[in-house]
Amino acid sequence: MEDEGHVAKSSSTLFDEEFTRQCLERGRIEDTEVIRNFLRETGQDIVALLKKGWLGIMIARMNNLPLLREGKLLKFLARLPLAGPLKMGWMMLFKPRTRGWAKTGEMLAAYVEEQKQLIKTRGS
Amino acid sequence: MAKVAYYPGCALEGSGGPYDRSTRALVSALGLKMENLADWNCCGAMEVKNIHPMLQTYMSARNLAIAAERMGFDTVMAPCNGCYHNLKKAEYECTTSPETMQTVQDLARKAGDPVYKANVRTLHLLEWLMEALGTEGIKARIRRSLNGIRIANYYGCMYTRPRQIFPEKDKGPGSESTHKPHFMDDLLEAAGAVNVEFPLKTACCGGAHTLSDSDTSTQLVLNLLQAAEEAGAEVIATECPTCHSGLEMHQIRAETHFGITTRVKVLYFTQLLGLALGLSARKLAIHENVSDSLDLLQEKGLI
Repeated sequence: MEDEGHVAKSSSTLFDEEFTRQCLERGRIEDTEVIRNFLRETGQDIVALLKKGWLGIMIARMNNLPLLREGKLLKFLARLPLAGPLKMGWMMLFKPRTRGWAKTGEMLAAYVEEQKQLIKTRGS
Repeated sequence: MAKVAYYPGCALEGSGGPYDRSTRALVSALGLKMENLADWNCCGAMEVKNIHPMLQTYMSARNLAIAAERMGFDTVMAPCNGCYHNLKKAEYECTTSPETMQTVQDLARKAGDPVYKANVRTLHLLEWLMEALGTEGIKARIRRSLNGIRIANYYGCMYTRPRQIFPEKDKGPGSESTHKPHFMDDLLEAAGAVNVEFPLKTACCGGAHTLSDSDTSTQLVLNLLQAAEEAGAEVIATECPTCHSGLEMHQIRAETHFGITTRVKVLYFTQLLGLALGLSARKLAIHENVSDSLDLLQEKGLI
């Protein structure tokens, strides 16, 4: 029903599609890209979520920023995460990908399309 | 113990980074050997099967085939429940359905990928540790007891379900139970922790819908957090990056959306075991968890 446009795509379908798109394209997903594209696709205000919502609080806690706000500078520096945020930032710029995936991704996309056509043909 | 192929999967490469780093540090400290699975791809997680089930089966089988055919391994070790579940599911589907096996092999030949021949098995990190060392082996390596820290061991739903894809479980003493899993309990108890009676150890955290149906996930996680606190736990130990991130995210969301604050901390079991082996909190990436447990660990004399 969703595929043929009879009903609007659910949030869950939009998430699945974004996730699968990245898998077929690169062989791997990148967390922040999945979140960003999903929030955009479902019309959620990313800036508001970052400023006042759970996303902003989560990122702040991940980076131990509450310690800084409490004026505990030494404790903040001692607990400052480095490797994780650096790696995540790197991956946001240079998306993770599986070497030699192009042919596999194309083949899988073609297979799915072929299967969908087959179901349509059988149904008509 | 033979070397295994290490399949981190996408989550451990991203938001589950602390699980990846603590796994590597732990494995090295224990003297076990693993090698990164070359050229791995996403297992399909919980999403791609909804586009087409064969996508998930093929993507998982490709990883298994690389381990066996290109690298010569007979065991793939996956610390993530989602990856572990999918690889086990691919094993099960290919061995029980000749048609599925034929499709997987045809697709591999078409893509020029290694062809899966069902000659490789998947283990979760918990299973590998139990098989390679067992609780006695862990006990012998403990340098700093976990000092009676009270833990609710949370396995999530994909480590044991559906039970038919885990034929090696439920084989009596020494094997893992799908009804009441205990490997994480056993390992952490050997390291000096006290495991609380946690009735929701295999309940779902709503991981597959953490963003697409956040309110449901928050409610499911809140059940877990509150049940753990009621059971007297100071920490929830996790063995899956999706569950772990979900617990951390929805602990915050429960505060912002429902005004319910819970104090229980969330740590990967690898981080707890690593502390018991004398590894530093930084080496185990504990300071990179969203759930800030460092003050508690300090109080307990663990760091």
